[in-house]
Amino acid sequence: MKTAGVYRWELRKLAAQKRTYAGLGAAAIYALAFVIVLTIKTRNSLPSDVPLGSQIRNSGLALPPVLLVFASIFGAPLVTALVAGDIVASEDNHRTLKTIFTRSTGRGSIYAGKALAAASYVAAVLAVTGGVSLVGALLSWGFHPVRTTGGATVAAGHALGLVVAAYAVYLLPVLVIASFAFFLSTVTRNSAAALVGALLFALGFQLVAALPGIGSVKHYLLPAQFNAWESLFGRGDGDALIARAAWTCALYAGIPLLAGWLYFRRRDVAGD
Amino acid sequence: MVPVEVRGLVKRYGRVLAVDDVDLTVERGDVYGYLGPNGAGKTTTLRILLGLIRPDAGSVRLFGRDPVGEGARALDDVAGFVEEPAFYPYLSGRQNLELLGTLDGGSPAVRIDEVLELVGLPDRARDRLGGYSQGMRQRLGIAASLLRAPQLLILDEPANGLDPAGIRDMRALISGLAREGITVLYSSHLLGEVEEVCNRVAIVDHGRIVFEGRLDDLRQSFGEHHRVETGDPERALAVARASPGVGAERLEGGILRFEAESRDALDAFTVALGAAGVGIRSLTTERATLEDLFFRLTEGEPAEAAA
Repeated sequence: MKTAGVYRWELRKLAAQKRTYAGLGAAAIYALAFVIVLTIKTRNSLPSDVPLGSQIRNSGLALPPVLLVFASIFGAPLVTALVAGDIVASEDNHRTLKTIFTRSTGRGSIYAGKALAAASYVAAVLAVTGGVSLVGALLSWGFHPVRTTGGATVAAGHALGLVVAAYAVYLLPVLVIASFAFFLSTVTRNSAAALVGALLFALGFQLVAALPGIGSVKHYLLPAQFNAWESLFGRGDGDALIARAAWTCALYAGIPLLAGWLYFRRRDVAGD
Repeated sequence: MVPVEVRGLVKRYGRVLAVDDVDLTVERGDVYGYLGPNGAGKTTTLRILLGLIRPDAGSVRLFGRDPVGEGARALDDVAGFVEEPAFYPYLSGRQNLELLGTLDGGSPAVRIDEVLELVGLPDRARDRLGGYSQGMRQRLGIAASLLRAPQLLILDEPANGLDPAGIRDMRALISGLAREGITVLYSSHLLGEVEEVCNRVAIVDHGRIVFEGRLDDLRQSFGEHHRVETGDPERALAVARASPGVGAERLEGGILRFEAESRDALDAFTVALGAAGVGIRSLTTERATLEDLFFRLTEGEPAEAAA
C-alpha cells in the first residue's frame, strides 16, 4: 500500500513539472510532423522499405506502426530518458531525499513507486505518439483495411486492434531504455548524465547489432526487440518473436533496476 | 525507553574524523542542546541518528530501535530535519505536507491545517514553495516534523534564516512542545538560543564531546565569578591572595574580580576583608554565560563531564 501511495504522489509530482510536458509535447510534435511530412511526400518517396510503408496512402491505420520504426533509434530513447533519467536525480537536485527518507515509508517502496511512475510516463509518451499519429493519419487517409507484410488484408477494426497491440509490444524495449536511465539517475544523481548515458546505451546496442558475424545473437539484442511488433502484421512467427521480446526485455530491464536498488537501499545521504 | 542513546559513535570522511567516539544520552522530556562550532560534527551525528548515513563504528538507539539497521521503521516516534529543510519547489507548501503525510501512512487535512496554523503559514500554504523565504521553509520544516506527532524532535539549526520575531516564536514553540512532553534534540550555534530553551547540553568540538550534562553543572564546574567594590582595592587584592579557596583575582578599574571555590570560601573572604579594615561597598556574583563556557571549552581545556 505504501508503494501505491508513493506511486500516486510521483505521478502528481510529474504532473507538476515542465519536464514532463516537454517530453509529452515532443512526442506529440514528432508524431504530427511525421504525419505532415508523409502527407506532402509523393507516392514514390514513401518509406516502402519498412513494414507497412507502402500502405500509408491506402489506410490511416498503417502510419502509426511505421512511425515506430523511425522512433527507435533516437526519438523514443531521448523522450524516455528525459523523465526516467530525472526521477531519482531530481531528489538529489532538490536535496529532498533526506526529507522523504526520514518518514515512515521504507526505501523499497520509494524506489518501486518511482520506477512505476517512470514506466507510466513511458506508456503515456507512447500513447500520445500513437494517438496523435493515428488521428492525423485517419484524417489524412481514412479508416480502411490494411494489407499486411504477409499479403493478407486485415479489416479496419482488426487493424486498429493490431496497432494498439504493436504499441504495447514496442513499449517493452522502451521500458528497457527507461530502466537504464532510471539506474543512471539513481547512481549518478545527475539528470544530464542519465539522459546522455541512456542515449549512448541505446546507440551502443544499435552499433553492436550492426556488427558483422554476430549471427543469431542479434535476435536477442535490444534493437531486434524494437522490431518485434512487426510480427503482428505478418512478418515472422508472431507469438515466438513477441515472447522473446518479453523475456529479453524483462532481463535487460531487470538488471539495471536491481543494480539501482542495491545502490539506493544502502546509499548515504550525506552533505549536500 | 530512552529517546536517544548513542555509544562510541565514529564517522570518518577520508582522513577527516567527523565524529569521534561520541556518547550521548537524551532523557525523556529533555530539551537537549547540541552545540559546537561549524564543522564540529553536529550535523553528521544528527544524520546518523535519522538513519541517513551509516557510522563507521558505534551504536545508535532511538527509543531502543536502531535507525541505521532498521531504517524508516525505527523512526516511528521521531521527526526532524538536518541542515535546512528541503521540499519540492514545484509543489505548494500544503501539497508538500500532503505528500509527506502520505509517506507517513496518511495525514488528515485537519491535521495539516493545525500544523500550518501552529507555524504561522496558513495564508501562504497554497503558494508554490519556490516563492518561500528561507524562514518560511524553516517553519514548514517544523510543520512537516510535527505532522508525525513525534515523541522525539531532532532539529538542526532551526532558527537559521528566521528574523528576531521568528526566533522568538521558534523558542516559544519548542518550549511549548517540551511542556507537552516531547523530547527535543536541538543543534545550534546560537548559544543564547540554547541557553534559553535547553535544560541539558552537549558541547562538541572537532568531533568529540567536551562536555555533556546540565547547564548548571557546567557553570558550577567553572566556579563562580564575583566582583567586589571596596574602599581600598589594593588591600582587598592582598587579602584575596591570602584567602584559601579564592583565586583568579585581579583588579579591573578599582573593582576586584575573583573566583570562589565555594560559598564557605566566599563567606570567609568577606569576613577577612572586614577584619583587615577594608569596607565592602558592593558584592555581586557574575553568572557565566553559555557563551563564556562554550569558548573556554572549545578554545581551552575540556571540562570534566558533569552528567
